[in-house]
Amino acid sequence: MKKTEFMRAMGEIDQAYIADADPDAVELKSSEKKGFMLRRRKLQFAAMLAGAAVIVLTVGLVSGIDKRSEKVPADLENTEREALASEEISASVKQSEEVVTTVPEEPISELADELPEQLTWLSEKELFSLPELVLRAQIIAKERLTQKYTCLTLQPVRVIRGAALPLDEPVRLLIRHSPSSRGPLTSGAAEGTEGIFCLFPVQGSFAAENADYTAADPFRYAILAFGERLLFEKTAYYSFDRSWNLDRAEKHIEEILEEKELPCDFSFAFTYAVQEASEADDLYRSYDSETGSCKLGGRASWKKTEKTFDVKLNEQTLQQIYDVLCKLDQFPACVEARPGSGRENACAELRWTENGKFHCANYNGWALTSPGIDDPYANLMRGVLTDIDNYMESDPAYAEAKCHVLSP
Amino acid sequence: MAENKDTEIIDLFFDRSEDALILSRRQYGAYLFALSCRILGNREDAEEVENDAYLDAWNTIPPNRPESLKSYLAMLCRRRALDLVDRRDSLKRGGGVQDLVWEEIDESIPGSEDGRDWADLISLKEQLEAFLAALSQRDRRIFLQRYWYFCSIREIAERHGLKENHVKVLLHRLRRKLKQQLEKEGIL
Repeated sequence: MKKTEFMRAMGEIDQAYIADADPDAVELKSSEKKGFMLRRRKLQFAAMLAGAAVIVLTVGLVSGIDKRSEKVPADLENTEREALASEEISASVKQSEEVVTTVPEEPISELADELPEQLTWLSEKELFSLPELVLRAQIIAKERLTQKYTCLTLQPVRVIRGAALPLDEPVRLLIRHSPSSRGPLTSGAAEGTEGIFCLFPVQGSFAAENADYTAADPFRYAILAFGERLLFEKTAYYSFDRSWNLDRAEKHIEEILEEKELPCDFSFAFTYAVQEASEADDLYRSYDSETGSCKLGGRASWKKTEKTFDVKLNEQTLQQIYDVLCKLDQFPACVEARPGSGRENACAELRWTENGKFHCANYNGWALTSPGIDDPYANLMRGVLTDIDNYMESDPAYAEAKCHVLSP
Repeated sequence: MAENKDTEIIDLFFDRSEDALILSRRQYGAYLFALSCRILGNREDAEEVENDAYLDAWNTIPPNRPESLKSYLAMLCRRRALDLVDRRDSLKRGGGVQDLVWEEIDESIPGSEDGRDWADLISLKEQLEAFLAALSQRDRRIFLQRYWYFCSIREIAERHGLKENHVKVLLHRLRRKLKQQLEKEGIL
């Protein structure tokens, strides 16, 4: 017998019970809500003080990220997410029907050593500077080589960055599929699709035999034209807009490459959320506002120990952000970001109202300026921050709530 | 309102329109992701499980026409997440709420030493339903929030206006009661 079998049997019970116990549908008791909110407000106050100190220190550098964050209406942002979601799901549906006839041995280790694996914490400018070629091209053929690798044959249109290339000669680009079965960018790379591709030099026999260039990773290898929109990894190319066309994107890349300094240097890692008190039992909400550190208490693999760790570089913080983003979908009322940027920090404070009650999630972030800091989530977080910023700034209804919160 | 939306989405499933997937995600994406996260404790796995749940919905509607799309998707999502847990080498790997829930279940529903398996999941399901039916609404909700939705003790305590210790004791009693019932019926 396995526990999972028991849990499966649980899963098959009458759905009326399941719906009745839905945590989202079961309201808090009012007395407990009050206490919870008071606790939250105390933490909120502490967080605001900390946030204010951070802002004072970095006010001179704020303009960078402000300039970077283009305002996107909420509905457009939603549409983008839906389009991406649609692509991801369609890709899943289609991929399930795809049959690979021959699966040769894959030189995964060989390629893994060659491809830049740390792209996630690179800025946009670096993402366009690192490749040997940034090429505008049209896909004229797509051949799936193995379960993990596909070769795209590209007809060059224009070299945006890099050495001159004979435009009448096709080039072959080896791309990996997305780590999971989802892969809008790989499934979107159909014959006839035009895009802007980042090409890295080939190394190793497998790549050399099958292609002229390799791609950075399954998410950052291209910005593709998809109907009247663009398909790209928003967390990597965070200042791009899906409603642009390729010409606009190309112009933006040129602008980015011409920038002397990065508008926000270098990347952000969120550090904490203070909307919850610090207790063991829930790893994601364990924060000590006095020491500014995160604690894991006495559970799971850390049983009977208490471990303090540097939350800047920890995956758990990303989970917090995701939790908040999930909440954002559920709380479309009033939210606001207070972004900052600079050498050492950035912060975003989320506030929203729900049933007339104010909630607060305050994030402080570090701008990691030292190359070599191995934080694979930093760039993703920056994208998240931008998304949060856009989302929140698009809602004018926050103004009233803001006054109320800041002038209690 | 939600029922109307559900009906609309289910109709789209029946029409084999991929809009059904988009709307499902828009309507319940955050909810399913949160549920998967609680079970798996891992963002990437949770994302994959959530997507698998949509795919399962696509493959099973029709012929199924769920009364509550939300519960149906949650059931699919949970099933997928448990499949993944089953495949993992260690249940401890994720850390967090989900591991505690497994530990608690382990206490009450120990693994069979004699090789006897759950021969009849339907029988077990019926016993579980009988057990739940005998509980008060509050106890039933608390039990399901813990062992179906994988909520943390703290979250449950806050939702029900109880102290955490109270919830822990209550859950302990409920597990004991369930164990006694299953033993009585010869399932354990």
